[in-house]
Amino acid sequence: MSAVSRLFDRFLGRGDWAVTVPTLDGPLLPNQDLEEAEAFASLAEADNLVRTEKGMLASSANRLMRFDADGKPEVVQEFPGEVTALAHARGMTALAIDGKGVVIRGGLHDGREATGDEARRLSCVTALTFLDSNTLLVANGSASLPASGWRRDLMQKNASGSVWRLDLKSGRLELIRDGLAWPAGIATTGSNRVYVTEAWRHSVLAIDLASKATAPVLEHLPAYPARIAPAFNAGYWLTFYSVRNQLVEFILREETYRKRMLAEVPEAYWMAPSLSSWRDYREPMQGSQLKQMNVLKPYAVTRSYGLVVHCDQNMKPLSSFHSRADGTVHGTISACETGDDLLVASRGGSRIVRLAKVASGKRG
Amino acid sequence: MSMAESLVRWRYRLLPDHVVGEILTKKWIDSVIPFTALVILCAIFGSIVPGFFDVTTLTNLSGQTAELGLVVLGMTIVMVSGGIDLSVGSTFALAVLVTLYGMNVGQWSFGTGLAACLGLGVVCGAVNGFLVGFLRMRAFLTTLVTLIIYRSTFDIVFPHVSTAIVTSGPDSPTYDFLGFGTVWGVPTSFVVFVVIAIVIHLVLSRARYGWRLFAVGGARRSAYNAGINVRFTLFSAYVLCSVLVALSGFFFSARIGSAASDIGTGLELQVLTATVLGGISLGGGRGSVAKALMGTLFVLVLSNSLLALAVPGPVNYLILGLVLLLSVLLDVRWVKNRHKILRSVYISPTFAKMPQAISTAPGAPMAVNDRLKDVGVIGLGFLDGAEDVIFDRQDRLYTGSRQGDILRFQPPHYTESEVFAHIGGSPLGMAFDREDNLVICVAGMGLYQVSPAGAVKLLTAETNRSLTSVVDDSTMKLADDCDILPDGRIVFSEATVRFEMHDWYADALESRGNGRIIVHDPKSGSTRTLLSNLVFPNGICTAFDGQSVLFAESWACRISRYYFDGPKKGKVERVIEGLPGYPDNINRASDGTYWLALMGMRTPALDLSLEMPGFRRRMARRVSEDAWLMPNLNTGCVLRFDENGHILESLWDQAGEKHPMITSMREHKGILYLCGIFNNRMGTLPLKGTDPNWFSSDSYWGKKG
Repeated sequence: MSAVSRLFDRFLGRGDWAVTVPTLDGPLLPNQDLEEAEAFASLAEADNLVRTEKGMLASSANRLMRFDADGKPEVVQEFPGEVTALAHARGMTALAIDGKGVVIRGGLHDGREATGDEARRLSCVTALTFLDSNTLLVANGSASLPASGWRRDLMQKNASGSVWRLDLKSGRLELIRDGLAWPAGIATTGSNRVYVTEAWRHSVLAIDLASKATAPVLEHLPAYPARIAPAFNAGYWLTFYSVRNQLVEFILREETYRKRMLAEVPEAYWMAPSLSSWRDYREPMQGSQLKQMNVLKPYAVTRSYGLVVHCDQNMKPLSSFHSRADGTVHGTISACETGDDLLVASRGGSRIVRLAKVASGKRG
Repeated sequence: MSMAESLVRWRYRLLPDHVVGEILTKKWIDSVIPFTALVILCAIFGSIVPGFFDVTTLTNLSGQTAELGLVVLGMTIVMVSGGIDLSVGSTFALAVLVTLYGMNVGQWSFGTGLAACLGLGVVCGAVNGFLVGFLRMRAFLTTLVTLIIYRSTFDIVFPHVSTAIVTSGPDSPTYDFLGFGTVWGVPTSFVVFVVIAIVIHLVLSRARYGWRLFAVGGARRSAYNAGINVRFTLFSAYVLCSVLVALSGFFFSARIGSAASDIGTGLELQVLTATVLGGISLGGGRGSVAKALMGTLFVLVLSNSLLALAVPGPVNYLILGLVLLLSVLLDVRWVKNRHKILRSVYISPTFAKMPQAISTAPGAPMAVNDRLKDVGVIGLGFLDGAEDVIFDRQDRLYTGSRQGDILRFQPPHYTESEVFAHIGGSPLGMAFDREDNLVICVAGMGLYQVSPAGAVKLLTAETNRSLTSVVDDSTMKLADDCDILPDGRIVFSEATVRFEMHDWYADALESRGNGRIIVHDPKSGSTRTLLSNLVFPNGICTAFDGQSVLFAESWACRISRYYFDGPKKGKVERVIEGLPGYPDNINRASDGTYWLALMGMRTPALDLSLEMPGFRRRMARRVSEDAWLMPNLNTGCVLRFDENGHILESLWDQAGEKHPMITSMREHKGILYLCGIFNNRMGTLPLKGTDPNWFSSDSYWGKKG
């Protein structure tokens, strides 16, 4: 594209400067399933749901929690930093601790701690997946910010994320792919391919571990994809930070305002996607969010949203579960199957909800 | 303040962008393009055609203008009514034939000739009008057919009389005076034409018939529903058109005195080019005499100049055709996109730097709390659009509704309600005067008064027009809150003169001083603007000192005091600056202080954008209204302040569940009543330690028996 036509686009708001956002349609048609789902447990900063033989693991800031089948909580361990990612396989639990790298509890590599160098390189672990009992795949969201700085990373328009292969025996780190705009989830497929979400580019990529070839498998998503969890039908549960917002897309193209907002406005009050809304009167409000007759319309635009999408083995969306603008089960960035049920951790709503019977394959 | 910031500030102070949008709303804006085209055309040909500005050329031009102009005026009438008349050329030929035969061969008098000629016009027009107007045939095809029929008639008759016409001459001095005479150096026909044009202009723009014509052309079904006789109006348009064409033929005959067999062919092309180029819409409902004249001049200047430059006739027609094509294209694009351009240009945000907000940290008087979380409720699920509330001497509660009613609730429980009066517009601020008349600001309608018996009376809907206004700002768009001075004058705020009530957020986006404070004197009936260029003036309250009024400027987040009497008469003083939210109504409290409603709260993201007008302008154009950054009106708050502007306490509903937006509140006998225009309820909060008998009208007018 020539510089002239780019200037023209910029002036008229076309091409790269268009601020259109795909609608939630087809398999992503909104419903209130997440909002109406039964509460499983109440948990502040609920995140990182992982199933183990002994029960459900979840993180709550710097605490690792375990839940029994009835949702009764038990603190497994407290860490010096926030637990940013969790994976479990063969009796081994891998945890990413903010600032401390990847540690292992239980199983073959019990007690493993990361070296200082590794902790420095993996400073923003957003997702972990076991490739085999000696190898972990690590998604590092950003080279410059910690995992909690995801909003800043988005609003800074960074693309410094990377995916690594970590050999637990030798501690060797191998770079698989860098230059990613916040990789936030990894899933294995049974072959050499892995799926990686690239949140700020609203897409899911397939990366070949051997050739390192990358191909998008799901693009133009109306939301920022987060983690991927395996589903009963050899498919996946795709979770999301929030839906895209036309005003945010616009601000991402308005350099002066964007930079001044990052510098002058406290992060909680940014006009940016978030995991929850209406926590403080200084949070920005948008036109359709104005309450009429004391009702916030579910179809209003929103900064925070709850969305979990069920995809098939090729990452094609099949169905979805929502908590809309008027709801609170927002910031659902982690989901995990247990039996026929799906548990979803809502960080914004500080709780874990149970979607009963959705993982039985008997629906529809 | 940084250098860049000062530059931005001055740029928005010196270049009033909003004027562009206001100019675009003017009706004459349609004529700008044809006018410019005409000026450019004259400039081009004036410099290359020899003798372009000579007296003879201009005299010749004015004679032609009279003839072509009459036809164009006729076509304008038909096109305004939504039709088209292609038969003008043939009608013209027939008119010339009748006139020449009568005057030359028949030696008729001037009157007889004119009557016969116009009579022919009536007949031709009546045929067209009957077919199109009454039989509902398509104008285009019908007049195409009559074009052929009239032309054939001419072709059949003309050879039989052509020799006789050429060999004889008229015998009427009046007729000759019309053809060759001048009045003060101007051709007679042109003078007559000017008179006719003025009459038609008056009829089209001022008279009932003209308005009906525009109504029929603009929206036929609506015109029918409004009771206009659509068929007759259409019929009359065609008759008028043909009469004007016949008159034009009469002028032509008087000037030329003879005719060729191809007379009037191609006239419809010239006429259509002139009308469409002038900006008379093919779709109907838009047009004026001035536009028709501009188009006529353009066509004549173009074709005469091409003739003078010895361009062959067919090429001349080709160029005319291309001009017509271009103007049709422009007409279509302009009519289609005019409102889009206007919409994207009209909202013009300005630079507004917000002062540091008063702290709402714990411990401060403005500290966030949940005192409004558990309050009593009135009219739950029933109230819709209750912006303000007031009580009369029998403790009855009055409030407004979106449907344009004033509702009255009966004490003591305020569960029973009745429609006290129906006004029709959205009732906003209310006040009781000394005689217990209810004075109400009604959005879009003005200031109203309702007597205790329920009789509605308009007090005022107009103020003096400001000198620099582009758009007439004398009528009131959004009268917001009112209060009554001790001498009985009513002072009220008009929030904005640029937007209607439902577009309030566009005014918030602009954050310019679009509002004003107006005073109305019921004794003399006069209305006068007191203060203008205020930023969404909203609540207004007569102070306890009897010399001043307090008023709130919402988007500027400040309270000011205006002295209407006393030593500081005419002065404005700042009372509170840097409120953390957007102030709405102000009302008296029982202890000599004031209640103030904050309809919503400031957010840092919006405050930042207020310093960046370009950002807001682009946002208004590119981003859907649903997603615009707006003041946070989902969290409301009530606060109390004293005469010096010190905030004493605040009441919040932090989560905004019950009272997300608070537009007004009123203390009455120890209870605070809370209103929000978008809320589905009214709240009641018993106040501790206040006078349980305090009543606002007593505070204003003293106790009554």
